[in-house]
Amino acid sequence: MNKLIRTEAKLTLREPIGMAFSLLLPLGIVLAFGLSGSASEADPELDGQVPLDTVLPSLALALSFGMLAVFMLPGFMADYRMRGILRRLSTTPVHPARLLAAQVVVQFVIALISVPLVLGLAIALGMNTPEQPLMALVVIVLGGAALFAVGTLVSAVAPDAKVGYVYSAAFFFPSLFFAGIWLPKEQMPDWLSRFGDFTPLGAFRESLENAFAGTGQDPLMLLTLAVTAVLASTIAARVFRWE
Amino acid sequence: MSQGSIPRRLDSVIEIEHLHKRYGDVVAVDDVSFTVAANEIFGIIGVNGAGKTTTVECLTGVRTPDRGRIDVLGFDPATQRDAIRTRVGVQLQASALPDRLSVHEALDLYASFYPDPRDPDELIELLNLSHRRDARYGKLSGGEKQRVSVGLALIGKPRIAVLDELTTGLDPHARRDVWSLIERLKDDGLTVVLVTHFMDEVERLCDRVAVIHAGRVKALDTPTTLARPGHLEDAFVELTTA
Ligand SMILES: Nc1ncnc2c1ncn2[C@@H]1O[C@H](COP(=O)(O)OP(=O)(O)O)[C@@H](O)[C@H]1O
Ligand SMILES: [Mg+2]
Repeated sequence: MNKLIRTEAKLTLREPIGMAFSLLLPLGIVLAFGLSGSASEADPELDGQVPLDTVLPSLALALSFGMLAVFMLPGFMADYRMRGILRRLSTTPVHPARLLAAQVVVQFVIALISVPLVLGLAIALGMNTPEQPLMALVVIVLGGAALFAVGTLVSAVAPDAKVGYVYSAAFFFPSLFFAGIWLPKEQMPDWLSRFGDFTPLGAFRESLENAFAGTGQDPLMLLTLAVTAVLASTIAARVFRWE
Repeated sequence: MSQGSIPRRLDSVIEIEHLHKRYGDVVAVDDVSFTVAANEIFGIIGVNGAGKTTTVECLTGVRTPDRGRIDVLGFDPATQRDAIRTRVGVQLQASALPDRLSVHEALDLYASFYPDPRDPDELIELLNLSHRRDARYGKLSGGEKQRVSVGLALIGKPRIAVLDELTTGLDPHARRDVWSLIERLKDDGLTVVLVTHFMDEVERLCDRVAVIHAGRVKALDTPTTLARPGHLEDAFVELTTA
């Protein structure tokens, strides 16, 4: 298993564009919005919050976790399926699902790398250091588990890369909306904003923001993440096929 | 046909009786029976769609038969997959490695899957790939890819190697390289099931050959019994013309 993980890590590094994009886009967002002075001021449209302390870093991290879990992971797996690599593995003592597990580990580690990068940049631009770092870590593990479970589910059910991409996009772009990337949640009608709290990406971003700002967690959102992680990975394990 | 109709050989390592497998409405294998003796090179020939690949997929445990009995080294491939997978090496028809993996990395990775693997570097030597050890799979020629694929089938020190269309797409030199490799492996005690389209390959390598047509065994004998040397193709065409 270790060798499988190391091999997947090497292969991912040899195809660095997707990975670099997933790491750089969130940094770009923090930089672009963080540099404008208004990001460091209380914003009445966000109920008086300072975007750089709350929305911006959590949104950037939700974005990098989301891209790696929901696009990169299923992309690699669809390619492996198409090339017959999963089928090839099924003739060895190693079950193809192990390759999926190795990919999850590699993409998760890359996502974790984005945490110090994003927070480092945000703090350099004037973000308050996170109030509850331990809680932030718990949220990252829980939210990461939820998003990677969704990515695993897409990998398991998508017959090829194209269909997988459609599934991923169908999950990701509405999720971004509910996570408040197009329209700040504070400007959404209450029911819409509340609904967004129960989507994996929305719950992840919101809980992360709460940990950064030290405003206390909504247990229902954490529950949403845990339930998504368990449910999606259980279904994925049931339906995973090598062809 | 009664169950006892297949002549049992004491030293057989593969026994297939009345194998039947369909995909939905398509009958891929209708009724196939044969046995393979230890250290034999057993050929399977037949036109495209005859059911060759499905047959070998059933005997390697990749697919589960709908009917029939398969015994490989005393194990049932459908239910004792792990036992089969450590003892049977498989070379698949389609190439199946990431382009960015090097030859050595690929063999080293697959070696880690087995309890008692061959040394990857020794195998690379045996495959005549030493000069391509660190080349990426995607940059290899067809013949080199095929040899890597054979290597993956052999890395786990299998008792049986199942090779599906081993030399399809290779130039004459590469084919002869692969042939001498197979002969050397036979000398080391390996049993080989070889699916092929090439009559010269059958005549050169195979101890016995089964002609499969429309999911049934049309003929099964030594190449020299089936036809005079050089005339196997005529015999084959005759056997497989409805
Ligand atoms: N996965 C599959 N799904 C549906 N039909 C299949 C599948 N694999 C093979 N077949 C069909 O089964 C028949 C036998 O195929 P195959 O065993 O691949 O033959 P061969 O290897 O002799 O060319 C063909 O008609 C083929 O189209
Ligand atoms: Mg075939």
